[in-house]
Amino acid sequence: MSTTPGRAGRVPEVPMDAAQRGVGPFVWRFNLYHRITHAALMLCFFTLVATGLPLLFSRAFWAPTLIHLLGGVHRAGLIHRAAGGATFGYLFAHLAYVVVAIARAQPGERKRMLWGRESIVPHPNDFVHFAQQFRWYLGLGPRPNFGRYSYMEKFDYVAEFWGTAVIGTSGLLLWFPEFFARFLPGWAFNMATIIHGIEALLAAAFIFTIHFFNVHLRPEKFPLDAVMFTGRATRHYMEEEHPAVGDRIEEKAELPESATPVLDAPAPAPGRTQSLIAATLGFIALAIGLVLIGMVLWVALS
Amino acid sequence: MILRWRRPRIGRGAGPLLLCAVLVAGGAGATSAQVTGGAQAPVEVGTRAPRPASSCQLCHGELEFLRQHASSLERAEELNISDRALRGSGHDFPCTRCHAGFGTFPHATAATETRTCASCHADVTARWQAGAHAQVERGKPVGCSDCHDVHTVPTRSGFRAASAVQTMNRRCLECHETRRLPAGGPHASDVPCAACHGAHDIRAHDQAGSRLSPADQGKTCGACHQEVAASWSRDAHGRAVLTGDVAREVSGGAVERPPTCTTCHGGHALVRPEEAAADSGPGAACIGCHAKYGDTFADSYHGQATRLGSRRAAGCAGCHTAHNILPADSARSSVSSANLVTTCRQCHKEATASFVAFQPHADVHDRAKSPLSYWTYKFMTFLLAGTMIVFGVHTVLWLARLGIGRIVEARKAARAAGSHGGDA
Repeated sequence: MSTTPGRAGRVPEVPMDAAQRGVGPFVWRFNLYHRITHAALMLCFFTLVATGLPLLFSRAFWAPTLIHLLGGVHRAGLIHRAAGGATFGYLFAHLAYVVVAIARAQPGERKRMLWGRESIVPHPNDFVHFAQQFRWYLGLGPRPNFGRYSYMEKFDYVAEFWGTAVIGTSGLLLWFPEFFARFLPGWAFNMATIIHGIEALLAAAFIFTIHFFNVHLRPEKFPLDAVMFTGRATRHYMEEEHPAVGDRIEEKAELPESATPVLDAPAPAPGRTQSLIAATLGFIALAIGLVLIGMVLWVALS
Repeated sequence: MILRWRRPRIGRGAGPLLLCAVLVAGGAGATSAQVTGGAQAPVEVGTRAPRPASSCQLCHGELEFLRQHASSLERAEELNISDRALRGSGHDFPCTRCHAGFGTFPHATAATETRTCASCHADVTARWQAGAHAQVERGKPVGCSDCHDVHTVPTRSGFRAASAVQTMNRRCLECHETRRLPAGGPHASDVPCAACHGAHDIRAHDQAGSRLSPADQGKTCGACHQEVAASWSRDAHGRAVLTGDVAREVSGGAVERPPTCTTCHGGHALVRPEEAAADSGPGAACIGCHAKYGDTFADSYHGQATRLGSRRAAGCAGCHTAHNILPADSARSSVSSANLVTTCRQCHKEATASFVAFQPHADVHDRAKSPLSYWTYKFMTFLLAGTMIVFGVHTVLWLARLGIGRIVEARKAARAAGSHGGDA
């Protein structure tokens, strides 16, 4: 949300959206495709967790209520499978996007996309950053000089592929057991049941605690970072979070503001309505996620 | 008086007994009657001949007359027995067959001349004497007329009519009001209480000789549910009950009994298995004894879905059947290696020998019996815990750094401000 100038107080008022804080013009961080993919991922993920969790924790006191709200086990199962299918859909769409983007890129650009400080591909430097982060925790050094994607964001990205492969494959096995039994022995479904459940629990626990903390809830960003919804962040934000791509932003600083996303180029500030929608969606998603992980913790701790 | 003949009936109106001399009611057109004005039918006391309209009606059919002559109004109403009430009943015969001493008018005074129910119903009386209703421990015995209206008692076949069943059941409920069957239940509308509890030799289910004792339930319920009872008697539960192995001690001194009909279906609750409460699931009755299998079942998709109300996913009986429950090494068992494919195909139409290698009761904690599940679970749990611990530490340290960092910075700022102030 836009800065509300002025009520004097000990704590200065800042925009709720961490990506809108600090001085400086806005730059484009995510294009429309990134944001749509992330939105689809969110929708599918929340749906999958909400419909799968009551089965995994079928003895929990809240499980019958949640299943009832979803219209019964078999309706919940249908919704779960639909969301699973959609997950494969956006995953393959993304792979196609990556292939096309690489094919179209200039040779120099292509190298930057695939390796180094601008790439999302994991890099040995990420381990250095990881170690530096712990040194910073202990007061032994400065914060790591993150590129366009920190090792935390890369972990999320890679985990999406890994998770979809593992949960998706085991899910397909459980969806079509008779078909897969033509090639696989019956005990494969015992394994699939365990793998599907625990890997999904890991995904949910990770997203609803670690991802939420890293992206939204840590003190620097609390309570929300809506850059993935608006696509835009201030230069201040980029310098704080992704200092290693500062020169790329500098290079494009002279370009005119573009209403259509051009990565790193100046962007118009998000409108009030857009900020409001982004914050609303963000808070709803945060609330649902925290409630879901709270339900899991309740069972785990009781 | 109109002389009416009724179609002769074969066999004596059976029904239950008349209790001895409880009521002194209508008189009879008896052979020895000296009442004038009534056309006497050629009947004798004790015969099975049809019952003519009796001259007793002259007095006992006239309430107004009885009121004037009886000692009280209540007494007059007791004595008012119309011919119509008896007509078609099990006791549709001359009054004097029971009220033998009242064939003449004026009547002899002694009420003792009324015959007891046992004078005709000796066999029933003997059974009644062996049952709980004849016992006087809890007050006075429950006699014939406490259940049967001796004048309008139905015929033997009449007892089977729905209205007669309901009348009799209402009588039972007058005392046993807490034992009412739930409305809409499978037995509530048309099964007499006596069908399970016996009519005259009624015993509590835990009394010796009760027809609801574990060993006799198969017979009692099997009177109607023949196939189910026959199947049960040959399965693991039925054989354990019928061979006398009715109880074995389990840990903690508890006694486990193999299930009879009522163990799973309840006594008066009589729930249809498919209507069992959604939260308990269809296997609730089994899990009471087979706790370990209940746990492993609950961890499977079948168990999860049934627990949450699915009636399509397999419950215990879905694979093990309800009344032909046998261990897997028995050839007739639904889960024997020979029958398993057929059993799974009830739902999984294309199940194969490979498909049924699935372990529906895999135990992730049992390394010996389910090694694959055990190690898969171990590995996945390690992965979950490892990832969450690494990033949990990452998160907690981050929070700590910012907390401590802020304090350190605030101190530095304060010191800087202090030294600056000193210089000034």
